[in-house]
Amino acid sequence: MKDAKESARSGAPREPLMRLVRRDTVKPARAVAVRAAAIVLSLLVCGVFFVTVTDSSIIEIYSAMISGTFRNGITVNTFLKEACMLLIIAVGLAPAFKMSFWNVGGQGQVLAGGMAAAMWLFYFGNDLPNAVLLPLMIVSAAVGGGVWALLPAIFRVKFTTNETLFTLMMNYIAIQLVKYLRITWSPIHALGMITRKAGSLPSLFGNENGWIYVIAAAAVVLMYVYMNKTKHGYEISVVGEAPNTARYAGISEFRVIVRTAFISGAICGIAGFLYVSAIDHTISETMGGGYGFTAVIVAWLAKFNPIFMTLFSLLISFVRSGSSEIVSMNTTTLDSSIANINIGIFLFFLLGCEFFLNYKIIFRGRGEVGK
Amino acid sequence: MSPLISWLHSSIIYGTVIMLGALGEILTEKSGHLNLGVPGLMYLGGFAGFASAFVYERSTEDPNVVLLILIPLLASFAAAMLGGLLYSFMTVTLRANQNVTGLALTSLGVGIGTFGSARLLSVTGSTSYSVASATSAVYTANVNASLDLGAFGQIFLSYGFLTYAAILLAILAELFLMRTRRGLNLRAVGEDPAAADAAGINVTLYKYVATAIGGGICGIGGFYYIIEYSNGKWSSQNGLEAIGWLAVALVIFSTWKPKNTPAASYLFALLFWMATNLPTLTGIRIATSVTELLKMTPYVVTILVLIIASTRKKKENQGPASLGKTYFREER
Repeated sequence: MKDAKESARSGAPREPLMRLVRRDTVKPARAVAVRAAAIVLSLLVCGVFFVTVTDSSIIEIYSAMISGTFRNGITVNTFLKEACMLLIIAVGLAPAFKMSFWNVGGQGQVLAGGMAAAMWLFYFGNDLPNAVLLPLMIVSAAVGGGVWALLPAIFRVKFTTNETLFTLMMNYIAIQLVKYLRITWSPIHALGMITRKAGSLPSLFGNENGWIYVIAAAAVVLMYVYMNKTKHGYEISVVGEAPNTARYAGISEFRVIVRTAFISGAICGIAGFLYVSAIDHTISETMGGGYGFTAVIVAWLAKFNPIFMTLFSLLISFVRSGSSEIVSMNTTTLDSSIANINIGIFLFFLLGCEFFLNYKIIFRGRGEVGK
Repeated sequence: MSPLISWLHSSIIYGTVIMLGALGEILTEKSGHLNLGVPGLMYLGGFAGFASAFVYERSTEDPNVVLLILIPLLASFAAAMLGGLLYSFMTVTLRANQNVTGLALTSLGVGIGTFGSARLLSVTGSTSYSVASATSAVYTANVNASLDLGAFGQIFLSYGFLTYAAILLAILAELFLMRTRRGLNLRAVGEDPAAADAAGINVTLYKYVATAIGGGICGIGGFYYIIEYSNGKWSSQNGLEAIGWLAVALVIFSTWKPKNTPAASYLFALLFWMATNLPTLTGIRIATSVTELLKMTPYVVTILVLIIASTRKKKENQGPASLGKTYFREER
């Protein structure tokens, strides 16, 4: 903070106390060290925060966070499931950000996918076998989510309409649509929705979340290949980093942005399918619980690197499950919103540490001469 | 009140919330920073203002009117200003991405607001909401309540003083931006920070101050929502988050000019309330499910406004040229 102010005032001929230089490359070791430091610091701050709002000591807090996550198969499964859902949405959003398309409508796309999947359940749930129902649900969820992202993309390319706000508004439209559908659909299938097994993903490897893990892993791998090894991926990075070059090279901006936005929305839509088919067995407007924004930050922080994306999703899921364990120990004074505060703290530290990866601080009299 | 008047009445109150958010965001954006943390700032301000009023009311038997006004107003401004400062520290000094930082600020602010509200509930022992009635009474005191001036009074004089202060603030913001040297400097920073820097303007300071004060104004918007729109009740399930986004969109609708914000936000609010008021006005009965569909209107309208604003490429109606870009002096 000081350096910027100092440098802004440097009308004086003396060399400022410190100045900033942008780093061209970051050594992998440094990238890991800086991020690890940020993670440790943010966990410390979260711990101190918990100590101030509960009667527990900091050691009790951390052991509760760890046992809340790894105590038994159920807690581990919940932890992994939440991490995977966040990861799928983040993987979906990543290609859009790579081409500088600010898709903050993850939640709306999840809901749109969920609605498209649930539609089959409501109208054909009793008549079709799961083998037919599930593929139909997946495909329509992908299309639903894709269309939800497609609209903002078309207007963005045609009229340079602000896609950030457009996608945000699409979230609220999806929320209202879900509320409408819940009222219209519920008289027909009252509570049957929740218990019925139609359209539910079977368990895999004896684990009811098995398919969620497989789909998350597949999404990460396929997206990595798509972004790094295909022509489409190359076009995305050209459009994102140098739109003029793209135009000169004959890459159609319209086609790339619209196609990528559709893929981005489609993956979020598949997350919506998973909520309907494997997690909630119904639709509600809180589906995807705020992961839309968290996923934006995860995708951005990881710089679209699939390994970092996985790591950050796991960490955020850990903060969430650890927080809810502490909440369950103090139900009279705390509520689940505390997890959001801790995730917020965590994200701010990770965002802040980027500075130490991108810039070098040079003190007076050190470093290169000149300037 | 007749249905038409009550529609106008609720729209002006609702519009004022959006207007305060938009004014704060305009000030922020004029420094070249797009702060997507407005919903978080509104939560922070709304919660801090409400909590301080709540605590003050409980601490004294005989609350002082001046303190009832000042304490929550300053608390909401200060809390949201801190949020704004956090945002500017991240984006100006640490040069983090503005969109991402804004979204993180929204998550954090909403989290703090909901967490705090749960704590207040545990104090009162109530299950749904807590209320600051004396403060609300002071803030909603109006001319019409004591004089009863009929329809005219109901439409124009039935609001607390903050409603009028918001319009005054819009005028002052316009005068500041367009008629003062500091306003000119701020606009220069937003248009071209490098040129402003070369001209000797302290870019960092302007960005910090604009973001902090802009954040504070958003916070007052959140407080106004609690105290006037919700009659002093704070519940964890309030619609502040959606309002925050509408405020960001309204900046585009009012083409970054504070003088346009009052009309634009009242119009916005009229549309927002159309879904619930039009059926009563026309006497058409509508199923609850369809009401949920009608509640989409403000968001659909926002999208239409965004599209229309983007198809009209008038130079004077565009945002600051450096909006969203990080300024790094040693680059180029």
